[in-house]
Amino acid sequence: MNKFALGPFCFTYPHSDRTLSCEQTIAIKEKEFVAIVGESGSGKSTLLALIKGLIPQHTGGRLAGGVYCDDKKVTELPATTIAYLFQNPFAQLIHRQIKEEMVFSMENALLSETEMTARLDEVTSAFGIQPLLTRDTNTLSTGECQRVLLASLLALKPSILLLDEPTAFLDERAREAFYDLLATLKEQMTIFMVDHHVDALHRLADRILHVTMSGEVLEVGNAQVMLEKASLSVEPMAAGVDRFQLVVEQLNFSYKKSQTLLSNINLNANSQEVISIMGCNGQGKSTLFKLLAGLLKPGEGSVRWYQHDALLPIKNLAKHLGFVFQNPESDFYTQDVAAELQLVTRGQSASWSAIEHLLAGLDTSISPFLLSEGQKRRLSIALQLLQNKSIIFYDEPTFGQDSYHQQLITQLLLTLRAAHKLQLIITHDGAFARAVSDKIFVLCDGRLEQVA
Amino acid sequence: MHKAFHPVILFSITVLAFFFIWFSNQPIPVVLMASGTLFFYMLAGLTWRTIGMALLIMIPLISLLLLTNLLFGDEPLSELFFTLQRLFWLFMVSICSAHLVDYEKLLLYCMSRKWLSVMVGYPMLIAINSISFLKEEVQRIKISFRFKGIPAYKQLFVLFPLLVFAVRHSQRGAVALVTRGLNQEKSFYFSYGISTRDKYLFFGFCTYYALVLSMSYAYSM
Repeated sequence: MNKFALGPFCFTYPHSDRTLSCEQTIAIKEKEFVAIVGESGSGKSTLLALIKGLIPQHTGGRLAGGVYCDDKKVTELPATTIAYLFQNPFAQLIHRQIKEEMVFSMENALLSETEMTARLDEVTSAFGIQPLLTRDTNTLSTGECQRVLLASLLALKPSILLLDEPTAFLDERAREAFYDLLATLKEQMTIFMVDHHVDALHRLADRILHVTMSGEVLEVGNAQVMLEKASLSVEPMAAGVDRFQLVVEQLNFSYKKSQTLLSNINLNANSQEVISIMGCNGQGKSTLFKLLAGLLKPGEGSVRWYQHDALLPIKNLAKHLGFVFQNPESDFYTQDVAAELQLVTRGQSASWSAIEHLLAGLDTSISPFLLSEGQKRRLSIALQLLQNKSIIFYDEPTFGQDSYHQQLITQLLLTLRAAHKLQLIITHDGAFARAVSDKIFVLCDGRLEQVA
Repeated sequence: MHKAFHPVILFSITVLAFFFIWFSNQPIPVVLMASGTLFFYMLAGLTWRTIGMALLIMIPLISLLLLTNLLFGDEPLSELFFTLQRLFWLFMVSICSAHLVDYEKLLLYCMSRKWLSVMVGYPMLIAINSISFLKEEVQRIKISFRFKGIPAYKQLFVLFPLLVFAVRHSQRGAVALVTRGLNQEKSFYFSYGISTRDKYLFFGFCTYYALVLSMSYAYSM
């Protein structure tokens, strides 16, 4: 690739007046690292789909102008030129066997068997995914799935790589390793990356594009543009009267008899505490949450909940517990956002106006499934907070959030803490965990250890 | 589930048995064919537990059909019992084969042999693989209902998010196939060939099939 020209273009979303536009041509040089920033829901993923050539053929809508590579429209390029890693990696899986998944793109590129073997060995060792090769894709954690897919795409040796929030599900160590990998890759190919980690973007990016909420693509000199918003103030919440305590003793759990997933877990938590659980991908953090919520039975040991010092039967826990799933779509049932909100409030107005900050900018007349990933996450948190439960579990609450919304969620959690809520969080974001937590635990090799 | 035999062999055995049971008009050959097929399935790793589960599903259904026919039907009893017997074996063969046949490998074999276009086969494969995701999604939705305190009668709503999930899964699957460059000329790195042992097994089944077919013909003479 020699010349890559973004715009001018104007894309009108299907069944909507909303547009994504770029009024001038932005010329991208070969092997440039382009960071794409913007608020969640502004159209960053749409811009990547446009660069891949998926718009409008596979999405609907109208497109005037477009994206060109060596004076050709991107839709005319061979499929191997541009590799695209989706925001939700599970949506990109084709096979059940990881080995088959790894070679799928190479098979499509009609590489010889010898070449495929060599490239497969190269990427599996570079990404350290040999132990995963014998597993089924539906047993992967999101972070593992992302690594497998990226390895599979890079085996193609594309000229342009599109990454949509590739670090969202990675723990801090894996994220740093990933940024180091990108620093190497940027010498080999042009990279477009949507990401919210401003420090890393400054370190890596040669150019920064900002997608504004009105859908304009602008070239900016600084990724910090996202923080230039009004300062946050979250209204306090009336303190709850219920007091809860969680006591976990010597908890052991395994899905298969031969493989212990969690061993000798001990944990104590009380109302007005925020506890974060961190750890590498695939260590059993979500399983631990299910055990604490009474959705799984411990193999050995006990999980006990107390309400005002009296033992709370696990069957009654659901009345007091809110659960924010890793996949926000699991929380949506109705045809539009307004109906979704009404389902949990049962027609009553929200008792805590701060929730409105989470819902600001959301079109309540559309299906919740049509929101951006970041907006879906905020809606799923709002749906739990509206129920005013005393215990709240969050699985990756800051996924897909720009720095403004990360700060907002931080403020909300601290306010809920002051209102005597007991909150448990699974997160990969160390800075967020440090900002909100009273205790931070790391789950590694089946053991839970307090680190802060 | 242990799937010892090649899915193409298992699928072929199922289709042959299905046709025989469907078209036969002799009770004894039907029993022989069905039990012979189940014997081959057991060689391929079918467990008594699966057979037990299949019986649990079938017995109430067959009983209801019997009751309905006894009350409202005008078919002679001997013919009714034969119809129900065939229905029973068809159910049995269907349920057991669904547990046993690895449909992903079956599709990949057909695509690698160019019997099936990759443009048709891969979307089918994504649909089949979505079943495991659907099962997980049902679990998640049920948990979410529980925590939201949604009453049991409203939990029929589960159908809506599940339908949306299925539609979105297929939409994303289609886009994934496009972005990953699926094309008609696609090559296959892995071999999905049939082993000699499996070919012998199929030959054995075909011999048995021919014998039962001959017996059935002799009965009808």
